[in-house]
Amino acid sequence: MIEIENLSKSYGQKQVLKNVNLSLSSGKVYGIVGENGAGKTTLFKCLAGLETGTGSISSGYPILKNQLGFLPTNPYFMPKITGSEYLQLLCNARNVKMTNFQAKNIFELPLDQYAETYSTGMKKKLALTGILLQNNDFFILDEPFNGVDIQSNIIITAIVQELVALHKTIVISSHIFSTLNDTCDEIHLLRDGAFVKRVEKADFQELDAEMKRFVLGDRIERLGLR
Amino acid sequence: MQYYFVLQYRILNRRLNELGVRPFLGHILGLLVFVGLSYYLFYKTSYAAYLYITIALSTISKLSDRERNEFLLATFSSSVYRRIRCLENSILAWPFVLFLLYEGQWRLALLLILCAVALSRVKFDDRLNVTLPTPFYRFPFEFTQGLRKYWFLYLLAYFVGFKAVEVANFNLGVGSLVSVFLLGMLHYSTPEHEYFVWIYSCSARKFLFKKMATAMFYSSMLALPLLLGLSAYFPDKLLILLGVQCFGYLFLLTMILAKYSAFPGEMSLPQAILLGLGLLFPPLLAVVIPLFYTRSIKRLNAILQ
Repeated sequence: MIEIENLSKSYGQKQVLKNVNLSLSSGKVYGIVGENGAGKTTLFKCLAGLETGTGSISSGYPILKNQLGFLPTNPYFMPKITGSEYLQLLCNARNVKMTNFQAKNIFELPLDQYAETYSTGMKKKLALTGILLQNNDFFILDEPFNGVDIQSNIIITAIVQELVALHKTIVISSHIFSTLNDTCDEIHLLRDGAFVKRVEKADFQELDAEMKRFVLGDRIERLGLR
Repeated sequence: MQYYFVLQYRILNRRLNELGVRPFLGHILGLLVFVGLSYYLFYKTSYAAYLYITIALSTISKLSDRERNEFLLATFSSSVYRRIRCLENSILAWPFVLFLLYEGQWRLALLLILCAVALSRVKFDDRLNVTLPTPFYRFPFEFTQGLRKYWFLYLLAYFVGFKAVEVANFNLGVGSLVSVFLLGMLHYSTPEHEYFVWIYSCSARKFLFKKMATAMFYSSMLALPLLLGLSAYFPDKLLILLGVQCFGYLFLLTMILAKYSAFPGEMSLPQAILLGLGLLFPPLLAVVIPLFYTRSIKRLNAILQ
């Protein structure tokens, strides 16, 4: 169980997170939705300990980040490092003894090539493979489906379901509602740095419709397209 | 187009600020260092003018990076793009051209400015798809990356070591051994992304010791052929060679500590000066190493805990 209580974060005068409260149980998938700039990535960075805010984040682990696999929106890669060396680095960092990555290469990535030469989708798949090999208990997947082909989307969805079966905790953000519909147990709507709604699986379609109404409003009419 | 150059100037000033130097002072310092090094080069060797041209063109060619040029071409119209590229290459070439003219090398100065303009029409792809194998795959990333970036300098160091034995010049041999450690230090000169420290599930102290153990192991692999070769041909100088090797390790470890003492930022100018002083006057390392170590632990604790 991970408890986030009254988490706030500001950059100068701008408050990005406002008293965020959230409980995360093992074996569940939590979707976080919100417009660009709503505070999703900041929330994830605070959870990962890459940013510090006020409030508290507690868990049963002595150091939460040591059990956390964080997939950023744009994963970071070093120049002149191959895919397998990247995976080796991530495994070494968590004391996971592994040297042969071909068997685990379920996305069929060219592991002997420099990761910097990979396409956007391939980079995301490599980074995801890396955090999966670390045997983490808690996962933050910031837009895991973006830039990834349909076949891999199917695989990622199946991976999330398998992680749930293994009682892992997963937090996902996505701008593609259908992917959250397939994977999440509950969805939290983040607006201007605060959670404004919590929706359970039965009401996902209603949330989708409400978001469309809120986002679209009269914007298209205002464009006056002819 | 004018705004593009204003932006480049701002970027340069921001970089100087990040280094802890006031932009105005940075420009003057840069000019002094450039003139000083140019004088030194022309004073030291008779091939200076040719070396100078090579250095100038390799610096200018960095602007021909394909990705960068494709961005410029997508942003500006074709004619503005060509003017920007021509102008920025010329701006970069002018200090070299002026010094060549000062040295009376007007033919080479003319050649340099023509080459600089010609290079503005070229796009290079420096992202090679060929993977250079290294023996460092078990513990990435510094030496894996470093060997791939500077393989030709390592080859040069071994060649110098071989020549030292051939012409029985011990000092040359020591130079080759030192250069292997200097290259090792170079691999730790820039900070990696914070994420690649954050992923470690260990204490700051353990993290540093892991990094140092890897550096010592891999630098030994690279230095050992030279050390063994030189020891075999200069057996009476074995103690000196072992001393050089030990200092090499010490400097390498100091470099690692210096890097993480500023992490995740780059080393500031005062830190770089402190490191330089320590390397020039090794007894100072007795103060510099504990200082860098304490700061590194503090910096790393903020990320690892």
